[in-house]
Amino acid sequence: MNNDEDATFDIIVLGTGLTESIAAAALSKAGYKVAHLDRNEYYGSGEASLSFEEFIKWQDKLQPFIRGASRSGDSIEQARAYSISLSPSLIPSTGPLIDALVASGVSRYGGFRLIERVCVYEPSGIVKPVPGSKEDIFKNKDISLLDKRRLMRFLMFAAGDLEDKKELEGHADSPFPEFLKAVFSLNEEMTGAIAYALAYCLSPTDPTLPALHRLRRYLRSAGRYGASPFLVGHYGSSGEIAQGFCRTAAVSGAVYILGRNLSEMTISSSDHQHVVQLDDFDGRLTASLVIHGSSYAPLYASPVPPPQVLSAPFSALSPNYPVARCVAIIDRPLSLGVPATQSVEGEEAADAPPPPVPDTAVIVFPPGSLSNGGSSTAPATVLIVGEGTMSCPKGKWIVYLALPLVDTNFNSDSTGAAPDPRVLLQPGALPDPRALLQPYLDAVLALALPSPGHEADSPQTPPTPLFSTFYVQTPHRYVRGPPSTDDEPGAHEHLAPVPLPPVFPLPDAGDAAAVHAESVFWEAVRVLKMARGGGEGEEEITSMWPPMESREEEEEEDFS
Amino acid sequence: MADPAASGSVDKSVQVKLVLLGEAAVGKSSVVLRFVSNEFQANKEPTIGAAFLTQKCRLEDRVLRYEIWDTAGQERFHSLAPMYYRNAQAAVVVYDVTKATSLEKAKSWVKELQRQANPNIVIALAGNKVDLVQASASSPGAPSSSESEDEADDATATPGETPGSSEPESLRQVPREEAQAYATEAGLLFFETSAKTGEGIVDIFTEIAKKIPIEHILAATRGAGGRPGAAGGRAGSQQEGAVNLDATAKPKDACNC
Repeated sequence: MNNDEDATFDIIVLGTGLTESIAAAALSKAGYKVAHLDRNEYYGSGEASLSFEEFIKWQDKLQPFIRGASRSGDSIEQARAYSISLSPSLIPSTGPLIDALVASGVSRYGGFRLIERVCVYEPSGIVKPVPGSKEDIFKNKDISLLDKRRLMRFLMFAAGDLEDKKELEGHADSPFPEFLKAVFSLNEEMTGAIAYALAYCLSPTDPTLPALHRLRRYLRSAGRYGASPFLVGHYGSSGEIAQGFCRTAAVSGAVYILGRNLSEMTISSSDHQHVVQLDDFDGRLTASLVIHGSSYAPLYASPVPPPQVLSAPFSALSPNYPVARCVAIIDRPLSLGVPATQSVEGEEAADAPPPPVPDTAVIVFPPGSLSNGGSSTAPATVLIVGEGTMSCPKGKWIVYLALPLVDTNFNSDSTGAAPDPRVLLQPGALPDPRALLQPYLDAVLALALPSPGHEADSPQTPPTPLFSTFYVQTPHRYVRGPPSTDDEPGAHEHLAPVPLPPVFPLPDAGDAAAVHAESVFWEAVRVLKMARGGGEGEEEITSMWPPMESREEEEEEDFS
Repeated sequence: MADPAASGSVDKSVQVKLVLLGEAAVGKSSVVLRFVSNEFQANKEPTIGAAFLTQKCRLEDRVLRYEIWDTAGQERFHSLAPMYYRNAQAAVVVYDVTKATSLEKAKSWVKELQRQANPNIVIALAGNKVDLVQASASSPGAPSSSESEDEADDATATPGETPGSSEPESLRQVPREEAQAYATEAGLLFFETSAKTGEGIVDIFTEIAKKIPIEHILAATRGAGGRPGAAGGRAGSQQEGAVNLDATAKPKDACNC
């Protein structure tokens, strides 16, 4: 296919976000002819990893779902060495995304790093390691014996099977923090650590059963690749992973066209094929099925809903909050205490070597944990990534702050009727992200160590970030179902995966996309089978990822 | 998943990620196929259909293990992902000696590499399809038809895009001297090659191997699971926490709580 030729495909996928990219890879591997388009010049849509300059350009483009953006400047040294994530998140070591990465072979394209430290911030201004395992609890000196026993009992319960547990009776829907206090007699501090830094609840009203399912997934992730249950991908993680899935799709024959707007999409009356035309592109693309990424919501389409399974990372119950975000770049390491497992042996000996500076860390601020300002109803999470993640130059760290705006939930399942996200466009509808997040950023900066080489002259002034930006990300508009009358032929052959909420529990965004992509995959297979008249004589597709051929690794003859 | 390289190992070979670039239909995949399998397919379909191919290259006392990435067609509409160049230690930029515009395209890829890729990357420029411009008499034993991917023209003795031309050398649109001068000026290795006959192909990879800063790569990839793609070529970067998803995948009952 050349620029001036028409070409026929089975499927046109619009947008290269993680959901669409995973689906495109699976569909292409299954043998469908896929054209994958994006209006942006970069891969990843709302989950892209951008260089510093691309990030600035992205902000200046007046993105429809970004509000109230402000930033400290437009430049930084070594700008191209940064990969800034639009969807910062963790990856649990077991779960749908890891499974998809391994089963598709995409894991071979990218690098990953373990999260070294998870801490919880306390009102006194210090951070404490989160006790996430028996060993951590055992060695922790700050917890009383009685509390240790309670904590241990809870973790044993949470790691086990949740079916028919008497502790859960009548509590499945109660707010998780209340459940922890009422059933396990855990104190305020431990409740905060468990609810927000182990289960990553987004609000104090998160229901117990989904929180327990989440926590159990995380607990079971520990030990697979190391002590930490969580990984973060190199080069901004999700955007790089999306590129990996797109490459896999391309290797199976998918055609990629980026950086061009859709100029027209019509349905041919003769054969009900979708015909797509692009700006500055002479050829026309034709396909039986169009899959719309979240920034391509069509007027009418069959929405692919989230799974109904409560234990899934993305379900009909997932709350849909706007989120206030901050991205800051700093050049001083943070003091995040000693890893939990080292605190006893160290015994605060005066000559003990300083703890190693973590390259990757998470700090959780439970609601009300900031004495001056901050939210009393929502937890803030901070993800810090350094040079080891290939996302920034040596001696620099990217700090990602996120605070869900829990006063407005756009999930229709939890509130009855979801408000239209467009209400957020009204003036004053959203709080100022800088005012909301500055206190958190200040608290993080106050943890900075003196610059290397300047330890002696340490008037411990917090550093000024080299760059900082604040913005609010709002939910996407949900698409409507096909019209009841049949005046829109082929509307059922537009699939629109319901857009993912802007904020997930920190480790869940990637898993949510993987789960969603699987629904999209099967729905596409079903629709295409129908479009081809029942698919008789065709080979039945039985799994999303066919077993991998190892042929590319076999070529081992020496060549001299 | 069997990945002998990833599981660490005794194998002392150095991993080198090598990326291919160049205009569509200049023979990128054919060059690799010749190097890896010593095969040639006329009228090969575009794109190679493999994540990457691997091939060892022995050089005096050490062994390089090339991990060769093909564009998978993503270059056609300028949609090559940045992931493609990441940590590449070597690149082969291919053009077609019978197509002047393909050298211009190659120059823009070189610029792109110098802008985007690892600053120590070793770049080789390969003028492919040189068999098309060699008189069959002057190279006995070498078939004179070409591997041209887009033209089904390998049945004739003097094929080409210029009908009626009987002088093979007249098919040439890029003089060797011109490409050589550009390569020298830009600091690139330079070869004229034929994936069809095999001419010059192995030389590309052995000359790259000689020029690769091996100590540098060893230092950068140490402890990173030994994978160039996964490891990152930055010297001195912290790699202790890097994880290889395939190599260490264990059953999930390793929970330590």
